[in-house]
Amino acid sequence: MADAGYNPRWRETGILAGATMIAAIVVTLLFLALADPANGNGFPAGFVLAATGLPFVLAGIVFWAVHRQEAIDRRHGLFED
Amino acid sequence: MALSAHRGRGPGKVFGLLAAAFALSVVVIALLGEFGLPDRVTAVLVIMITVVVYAVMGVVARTLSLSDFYVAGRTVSAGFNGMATAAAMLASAGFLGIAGAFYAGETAGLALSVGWAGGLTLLAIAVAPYYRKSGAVTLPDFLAVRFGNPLVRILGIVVLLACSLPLLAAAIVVAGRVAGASLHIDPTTAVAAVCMVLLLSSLFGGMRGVTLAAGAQAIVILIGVVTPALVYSLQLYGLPIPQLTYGDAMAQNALADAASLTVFSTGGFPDGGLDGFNLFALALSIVAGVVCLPHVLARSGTTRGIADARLSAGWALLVVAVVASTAPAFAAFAKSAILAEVVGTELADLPAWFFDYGADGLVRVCGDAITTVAAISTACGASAVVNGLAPGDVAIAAEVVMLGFADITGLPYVLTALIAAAVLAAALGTAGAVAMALGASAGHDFYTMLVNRRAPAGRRLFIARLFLILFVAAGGWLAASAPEDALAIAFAAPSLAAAGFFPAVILGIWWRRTTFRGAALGMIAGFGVTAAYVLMLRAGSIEPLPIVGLTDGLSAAAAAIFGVPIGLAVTVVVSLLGAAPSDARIAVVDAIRRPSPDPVLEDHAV
Repeated sequence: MADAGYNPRWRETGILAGATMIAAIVVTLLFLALADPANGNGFPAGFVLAATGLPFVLAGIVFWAVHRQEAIDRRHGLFED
Repeated sequence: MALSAHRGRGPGKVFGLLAAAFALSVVVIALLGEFGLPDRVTAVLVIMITVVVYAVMGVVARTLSLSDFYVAGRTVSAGFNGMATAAAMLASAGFLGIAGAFYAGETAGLALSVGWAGGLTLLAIAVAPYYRKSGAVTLPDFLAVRFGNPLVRILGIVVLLACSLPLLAAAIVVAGRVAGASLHIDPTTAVAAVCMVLLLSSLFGGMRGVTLAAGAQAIVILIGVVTPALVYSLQLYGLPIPQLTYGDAMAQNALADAASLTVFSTGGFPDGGLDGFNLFALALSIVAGVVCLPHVLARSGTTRGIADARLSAGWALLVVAVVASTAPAFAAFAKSAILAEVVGTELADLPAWFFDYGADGLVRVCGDAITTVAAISTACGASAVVNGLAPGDVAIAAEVVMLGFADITGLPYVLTALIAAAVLAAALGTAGAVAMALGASAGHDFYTMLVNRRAPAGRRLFIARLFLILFVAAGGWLAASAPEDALAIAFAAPSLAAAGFFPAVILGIWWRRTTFRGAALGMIAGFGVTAAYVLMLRAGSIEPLPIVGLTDGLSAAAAAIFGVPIGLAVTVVVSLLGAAPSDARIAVVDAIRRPSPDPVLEDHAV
C-alpha cells in the first residue's frame, strides 16, 4: 500500500467527505425528529421545515462541500478548469 | 451546438431561452383558453409543443461521433447537466407518487423527499467525480475499469438489465397513460407514440440528444409543478409562494379531520401506503439507489470536467428540492378543496370532476366507484343523503392528487394540461435516460468490449443504435402487455440497483483493498438475494418479511435494506481473505481519485 495515509490531498478529501455526510445525516435526523405535524401552535411548523426546508438545506450543504473540495484541489494544484 | 458553446458553470443561455419560450407559450394558450379555446385543443397544444421540442432537439443533436453518442461529448455545463439529471431521476412513478404520498400521510412523502435529496448529496460527495474521472461510458464499464476484470462487467450488465428494463417499461406506461388521457387516444396508440418520441430524441444524437431534451423536460417539470400550486396559493392566501402557505392549509384541514381522507392504488401506481420501518427502509434504499442507478450515474459522465460532475449533482438537488417542497402543497390544497367542495356538501351540489373521475374509477365513495348521486346513497346509506359525505367516505386514486389537482381546486383547464405535460416530461426524461443507459451498455459493454474490440467506430455506432431500437421496442411491448408488473418492479428498481452496485461502487472508490473477487461475489450475493425477494413477492410465492411493528411486512421497494448490507459484508470479507490488489490495480484506484485530466487507463477512451 503505497501512500494511502500520506497523500495529504486525499486525506483532506476524506475528512471533508466524512464531515459532509455527518452534517447531512445530523441535519436530516434533526429535521425529521421535529417533523410531526402536531409540532407548532396550530401551524405545522416542524413539518413545513422538514418538507420544504430540508431539501434546500441539503442542497446548501452540497454546494458548500463542492466549494471546499475545489479549494482543496486548487491548493494541491489539481483543479483542472 | 449550444451545449459546448456555453463556458460558464450555470444552466446557461439555451436553458433560459427555452424556459422563457415555454412560459410564454403557456401564457398565450391560457389567454386563448379565456377566450373560449376548447379544453381538448388546449391539451393538444400544450402537450404537442413540449413533445415536438423533445423530438426536434434529438434530431438537431444528430451525430456521427461515438463520444457525442455515448457521453454527449463530455461538454455539458454543470448547471445544464444538473437539470438533465433531475429530469432523468424524478422517476415517473415517484414523481407522480410524491404528491399522493404526502396526501396519504406526511411521513410517506418525507421518506421519498429525504431519499432523493440524501441520494444526490451522497452522489455529489462520494461517487460522481470519481465516476467522471474513470472515463467510463457506463456503470458496468466503471466497474471493469476499477477492478480490471471482465466478470464484473458481465455482472454489471445483468444488474443493469434487471433494474433498467422495468424502469423503461414503467416510464413508457406512465407516459402512455398521461398522453392517452389528455389527447384522447387509445392506450396502444399512446404507447406507440411515446416510443416514437423516445426514439426521435435518442436515436440520432444519442446522449447528446437525450441531454438537450432532458434540459427542456426539466423546464416543463419545474413550470408544470410550481405554477398550479402557486396560482392556487395566490387565489386563497394572496401570496404566490405555496411553500409558505400550505402549512396554513394543513392547520385548517386538521380541524376538519383531513387525516381520514385517503388515497388508493390503481393499475400498479404505488399509493404510498407504507408504514413505520418500511418508510425508513425505503428512504435509505432510495439514497443508495440514486447513487447507483445506471441512468442517473451516466449523467455524471457527461459533464465538462470532474469538478463539474460534483456541482452538477448540486444543481440536480436544487430542482428536486423545488419539486419535493411543492408536493406537500399539492396534497394540502387538494385536501382543502375536497373538504370545502365535497365533504358535507348536499349530494346534488357535488362538483362535476367528482363524477368524471368516478367514471374512470379514480374516485371511490364508501369503497365503491361512483358515477351518479343515486349510487352514493346506495353505497353510503341514508346518512350521506342527510349530512353529505364524511371525510372517511372519500378516497381518490394516488395519481389524481397531482394529475387532477387543477380540476379538484377549480383552476383553469390550461393548468390541468400543464400538469399532464410535466408528468409526461418526467416520464419521458426517465425513459430517455434509461433507454440510453441500456443501449450504451449493450453497445459498449457487450458488443465493443466483449464481442468485437476491433470494431470500427461506424460499426459500433450502428450496433448501439440497433440495440437502442430493440430496447425501446422491448420497453414498449412490456408497457403494453404487462403494465402492472412493470410498475411494481420499477418501484423496486432503486433497491435492485443499490443491492447490485452500491458495495462495489462505494468500496471500489473509497477502500483500495477491495478486490475484484470481493466485488464480484458481493454483487452476486446482494443482488441475488434482493432480486429473489422482489420477484418472489411479485409472484406471490413468499410472504413479505415480517418485521416487528409492520402490519404488511417489508415492502419490495425497500429490499435494499438487507440487500446492501449483505453485499457490503461479502465484499469486505472476501476482499480481506484474498491477496491484496496488485500495485497496478492500486495505481488505477489512485488515478480515479486524482482530479487531474490524465486518463485512468491509456487505452480507455471514448
